Amino acid sequence: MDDTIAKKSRDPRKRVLDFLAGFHLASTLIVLLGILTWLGTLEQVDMGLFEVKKKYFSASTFWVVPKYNGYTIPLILPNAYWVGMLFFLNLSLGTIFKARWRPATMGILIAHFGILFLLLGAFVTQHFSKRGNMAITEGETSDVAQDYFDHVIEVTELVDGKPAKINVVETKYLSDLDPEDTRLFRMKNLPFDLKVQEYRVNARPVSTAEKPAQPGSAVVDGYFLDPREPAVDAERNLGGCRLTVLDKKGETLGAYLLSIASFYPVTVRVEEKMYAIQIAKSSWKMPFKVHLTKFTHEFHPGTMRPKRFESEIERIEEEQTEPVLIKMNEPMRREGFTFFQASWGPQDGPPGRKLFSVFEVVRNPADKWPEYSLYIVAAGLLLQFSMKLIQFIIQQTKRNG
Amino acid sequence: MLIAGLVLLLGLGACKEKPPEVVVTETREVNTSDGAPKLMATSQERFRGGAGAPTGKSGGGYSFTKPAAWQQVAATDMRLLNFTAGEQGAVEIYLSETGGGMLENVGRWFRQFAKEAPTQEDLTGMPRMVVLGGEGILVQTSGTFSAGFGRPEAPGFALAGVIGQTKAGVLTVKMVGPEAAVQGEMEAFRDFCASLQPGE
Repeated sequence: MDDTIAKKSRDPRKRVLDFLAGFHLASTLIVLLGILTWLGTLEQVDMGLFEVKKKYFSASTFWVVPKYNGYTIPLILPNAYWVGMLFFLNLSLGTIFKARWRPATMGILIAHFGILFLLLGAFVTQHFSKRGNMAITEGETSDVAQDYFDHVIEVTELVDGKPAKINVVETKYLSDLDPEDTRLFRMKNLPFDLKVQEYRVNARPVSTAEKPAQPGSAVVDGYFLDPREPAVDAERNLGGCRLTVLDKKGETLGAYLLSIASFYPVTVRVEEKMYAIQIAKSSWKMPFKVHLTKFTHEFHPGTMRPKRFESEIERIEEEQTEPVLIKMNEPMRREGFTFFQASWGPQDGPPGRKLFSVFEVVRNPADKWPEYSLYIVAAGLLLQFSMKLIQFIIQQTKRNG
Repeated sequence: MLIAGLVLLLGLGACKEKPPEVVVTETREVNTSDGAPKLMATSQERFRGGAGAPTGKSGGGYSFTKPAAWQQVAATDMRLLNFTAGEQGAVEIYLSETGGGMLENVGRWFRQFAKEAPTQEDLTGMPRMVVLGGEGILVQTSGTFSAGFGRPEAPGFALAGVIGQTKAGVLTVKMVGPEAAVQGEMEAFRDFCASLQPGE
């Protein structure tokens, strides 16, 4: 990039462009990204990956006040998401308006495009990727992946005791609620509505026979939600809320506690029909089924460090069944989904017990973009350095000849 | 100008109100995890499954005296009795009936702390304590706890566990958590194990 052009221009538009496309801004943003990544990595030890990603890399906040080892660092830094956005703008404007577009700088231009592609990949991943897990016991079949973090409320009519179409109160309608908030959900497809109170990201249902109810926790049917701090491993959070079922006139039909730590959903009878209501981790259906034939695991001697983990599965698509072996670092890719061997259980089980395998299921349209961007940057730099080398050799040959 | 723009965006973000009402139209298809639920389950059944009432006296086929500071939580397939203790429930205590021999079970626990599995001779030298009215082997170790593949390692953890023999096989009571918290619960752990009796 060249930021010397029109440096002394008095045209305010030009000056803004100079600033936004400038090398100084680019350098500042790169340093900021480095510092934010470093601070985020340090804070991850205490806060966990999920919370740190939310704090440092989400679009919902503009500023970050870092903490280390429980102490606040007196620094107000911009959020890495917006730094990345500004860097993308800076690099785009710099490439379009300030870079020298000529054959001699072709390699540099290609490298710039590679970095832009990398930033674009990060944006697509942030906004369009899904990540969850699928747990299957040996001999069983599944077609569903469950999100690690997002809580939803699901309501379904039971027809012959089995769930029909499931109505979903999505995470975005719950995640902004604090325990003291109340929200009414008008269920368009159902003959009743839901009032949610005391939504907590992490809580345990506890009987008043065991422990007196905490202030702010209402007792329903002898139980209350005992609040917990959000877990460092956010996937271990057990969400819960207090739920009131109301008819369409607003009359109370029943009050319940919902918790992910439940064996069964709440069932209610409304207008002679039976409905099931539960809070659960958000789930998404796969376009194919996975049948776990056999799971094999092996540790390094005397440790719990994995040496070999593999799942023999059958991928079932309509009439076709195909055997696939999923191993550590050898995932299965199919129809935009990637299945990684992630975990297994029960890890405290007695010998000979049936095992289950857990796959991390990722749907990310930009899955391979970082790899491609690396190739682009490498090709650009290789071209640039090769041209420089050839130029140097020609000059030396001329000088010597 | 840039700073002004950011401040404006920040202000707009802060003004966002929480809607008191939402119309829900979203649905999803039924999948293989959606089974037929138990109808009209009570809170007791929903939160404690088939286990008995969390009276702190019985459950999982055993009777016991629950230490006052412990909290009984839902039993699971592998944990017939399940408790938490310490700040934020950081210490887990659970009773399981399992297969395999004593040596195999102690070895499995040691492996979770990256310790070499003990020999039969080591086992003979380990301290004993009362469990289920008989004598069990007290296993203690500490270090970095690896719950297993896929879960993060937990440094500064400790394990105190007792392994006893029943007619059906091996019974284990395991307490695991941050080292200081586990040490703090040792007396309660001994009392709990001593109080364990078969039958609800």
